[in-house]
Amino acid sequence: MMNLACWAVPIRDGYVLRADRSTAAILQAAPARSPQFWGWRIALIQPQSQQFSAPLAARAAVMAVDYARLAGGVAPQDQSRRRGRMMIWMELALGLALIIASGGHWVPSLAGAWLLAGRRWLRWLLGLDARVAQSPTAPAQSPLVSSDAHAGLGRIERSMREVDDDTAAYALGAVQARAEGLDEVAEVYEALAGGTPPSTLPPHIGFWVADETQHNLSRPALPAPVAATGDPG
Amino acid sequence: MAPLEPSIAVQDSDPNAQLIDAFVVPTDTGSAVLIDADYERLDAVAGPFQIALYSRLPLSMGELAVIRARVEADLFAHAVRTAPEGRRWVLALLMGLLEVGVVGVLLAFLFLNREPIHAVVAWAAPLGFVPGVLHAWRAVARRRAGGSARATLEVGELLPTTAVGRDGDSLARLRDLWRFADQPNEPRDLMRLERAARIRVRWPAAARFYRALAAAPDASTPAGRLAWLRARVRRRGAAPQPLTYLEARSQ
Repeated sequence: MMNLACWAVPIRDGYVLRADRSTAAILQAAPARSPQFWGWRIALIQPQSQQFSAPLAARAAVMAVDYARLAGGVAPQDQSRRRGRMMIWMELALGLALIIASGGHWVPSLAGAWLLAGRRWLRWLLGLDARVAQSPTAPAQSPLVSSDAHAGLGRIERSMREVDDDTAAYALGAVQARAEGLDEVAEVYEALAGGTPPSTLPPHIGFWVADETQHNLSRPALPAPVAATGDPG
Repeated sequence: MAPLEPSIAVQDSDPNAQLIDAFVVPTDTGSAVLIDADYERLDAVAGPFQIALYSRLPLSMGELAVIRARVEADLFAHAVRTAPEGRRWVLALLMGLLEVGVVGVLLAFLFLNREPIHAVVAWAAPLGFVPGVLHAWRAVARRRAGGSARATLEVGELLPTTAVGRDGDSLARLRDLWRFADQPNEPRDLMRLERAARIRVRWPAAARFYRALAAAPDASTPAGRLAWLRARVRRRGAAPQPLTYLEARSQ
């Protein structure tokens, strides 16, 4: 299965869920991988306190990851493709020049024809430029969603709790998230500090999930996080 | 839908696992994650991949999960980029030899039939023919890397657990680096850390990492404990690219 991460960013009345930036790259590589790995194992990255129900969180996480899949990302090969195109134009120009300058001699004409079309045709015939086989992906297994507490996110949530004003709390959260290096989290807080209501956040920022008090209280909450790692160093 | 469950904590490595070393190293403002692994040396056929974490700071499960996702993204994106290389390298080699033959005959012809226009063509010919020869050379030179990448795509999987790094040399290097960074009354800056990594600890990957970090536009890393989210990747033989987490290679 593919290991994906999804942020559950704590806000005043719930959480905003958004896929980690690595998701786009993982899902772009997926069509080249064997179909047996097409399942999603989503780690929901959350602060220590969980208020929303498991099914709700899992649905939102899958939705956030699915949005990242559909939105895609920057094609990683743009630069090399541009270089490749330049080389092709150079070959074509030189091939044409050789044919024109050949003056009827077969040797330069043949070299020109080789550059114009022969090389590319032979490479195509031999399959030397074939890309990695890609098949359209669809998750072969139902997604597994786990819950993992993030220390930095927990610190941000605790410090925001001490601020009464919503906008000020989000602005503080944004600053702290940047300081922690959590850019995805900072983007959410910046949008909220800018006055966007959580329910109207654009999907590339995240999906709002109201806290459990606004849903079914009988549903089980997320399990408590596990203790941190050992200390080998 | 499966119920939500907490992930399993850091544990011993899988006996067959291909370990990808992740180090929590000091920076000027905190610490960052450095992935010191050469993906092209990993053998997906021998076993699944697993992150081996070397850290003196305790990491939360969430931090580990994000590191895992970032490594997975980089590992498989690298495999997709590398997989076409070296495929059918014998045919590519034959194509290269054919290319050399064509340019040889052309240059011989131009030499034997000297005309002013031919001098221009003789100078321009390498521009057209060298790429073909380079293609062949690259296919031969990168055949193992391409094979490894194709195996990664076919059978490679990153385990959802993180192992405790237990390599003695790696632990010693990390300990020495932290000891240097923690010296009292000494400023902790990237240049000093790079120098320490290169000369004192003899850890080329860490030295390259600090150099790349210092050369990055936002040279000072975030003040957070883990700064890997706003870092740079530096791949061997390539310019630094803006990416998601810190990486360097040992060779």
